[in-house]
Amino acid sequence: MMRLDSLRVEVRRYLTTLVERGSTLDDHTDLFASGAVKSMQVLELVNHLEDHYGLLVSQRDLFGGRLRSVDAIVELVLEQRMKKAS
Amino acid sequence: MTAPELSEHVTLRCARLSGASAAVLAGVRADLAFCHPAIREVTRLDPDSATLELAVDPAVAGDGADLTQQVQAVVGASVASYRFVPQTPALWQRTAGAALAGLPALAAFTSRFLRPLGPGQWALVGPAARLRAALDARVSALAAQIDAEPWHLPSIEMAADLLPATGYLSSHPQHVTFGYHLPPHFAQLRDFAAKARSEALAVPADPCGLQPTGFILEPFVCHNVYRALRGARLASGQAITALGNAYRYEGHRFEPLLRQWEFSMREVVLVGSAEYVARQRQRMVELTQGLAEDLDLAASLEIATDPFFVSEAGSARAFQLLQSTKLELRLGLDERHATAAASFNLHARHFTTPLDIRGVSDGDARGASGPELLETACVGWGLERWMAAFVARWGAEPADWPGL
Repeated sequence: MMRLDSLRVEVRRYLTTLVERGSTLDDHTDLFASGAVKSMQVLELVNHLEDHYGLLVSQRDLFGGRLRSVDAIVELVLEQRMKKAS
Repeated sequence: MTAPELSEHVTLRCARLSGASAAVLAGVRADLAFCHPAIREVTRLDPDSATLELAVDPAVAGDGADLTQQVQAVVGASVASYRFVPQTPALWQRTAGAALAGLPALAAFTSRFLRPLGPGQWALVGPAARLRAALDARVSALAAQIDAEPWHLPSIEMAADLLPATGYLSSHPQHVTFGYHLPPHFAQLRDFAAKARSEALAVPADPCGLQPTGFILEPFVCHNVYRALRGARLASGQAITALGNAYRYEGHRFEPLLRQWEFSMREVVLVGSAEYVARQRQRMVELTQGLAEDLDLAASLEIATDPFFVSEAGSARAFQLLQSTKLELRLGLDERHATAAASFNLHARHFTTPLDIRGVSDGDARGASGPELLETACVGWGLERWMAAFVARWGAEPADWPGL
């Protein structure tokens, strides 16, 4: 299983390619409120997480802030992996 | 999905419809208006049998292959676009003090006081025109309560600046009406004039040198306000109000008063700090709720999304809901039908960034040089839809109406 640090680096790297050029992005940055992720990129982000990490992103996840930052996404990936493992 | 047997009515099986909610079916019905030119009407959507029925023009549908392919693509994209659109309860609602006169009254009113002029276009006659003016006066009075400055604006928008920057032509291409004119060239104009006379041309035949003008007919009143404020430096928040004609093509879905190609929209545009535009938008929400109460209309306030073009709608709807940027006041037409008659929209810096609209102080600069970028909001009232709701409440006979 991917280590936490490498998972965080990987998520951050992907988001860096996704967000608006010139946006500053740290692990706590609110991707939506800051304008880093634009309107047309929401489903791109969802699709990437589902395809790449095998997640199933629900309405509750999206609107409950589980995709809102690097930290939140890493937490969601780990949580779903632990559920699958158990 | 199987290819249809072509006739006036076709039935298509489409697995993606299976189990679709009422909200999704309403969205699919709307999106099918921009699916294929052969479709005249969507006569039935059945989530239980996963079928849809269309009234089609056989001459346009041809062998049906393209129609089937486009329907499949639109239904698939439309259903998928609702994946992240949760059902949310109304934020506020009221019922009218008596049973609504409903759709029969609306049909009787439009039959008596509207004259059809073409797709999506109707003349308002006598009481209909007076009702529209009276409702605009009531809405204008709301705008006056926040000292909105009256403006008058063109119904055409030069498309070169704001539209590319905001992506409107990619997010709502289905609604846009483009403008053309003949070239200012003597020989071409003379040839055209001669042909118009000899052939009694109704519209310019191709080829006749039609050139894009670079403008569209305004889908919103507010766009030209932002364009007029290009480069402005505002010392304080500003509210502007204007009544204008708005134009949205709706395919086969035109209905008098409820969905017109050209309709009357009064808007209030708010420009200022985030705090100013949010506070004034909320004030306009409350005043509009008060107007619905005063007219005793059935009404609800809901978090809403725009009618985005289906290929981009999934992401756009999810984003709009994430930001909770759009509220809509829906007015009841009968027990089962309502119409979105006012919207209250926060834009953040969507318009002020491309048009460089700023305050005068450096205090809140967010990584940009110079004074801080301001934010905007707009409130729009569709006057014909207010007319429809008023008639659905009070009936088709003007003598029975309360004073406005």
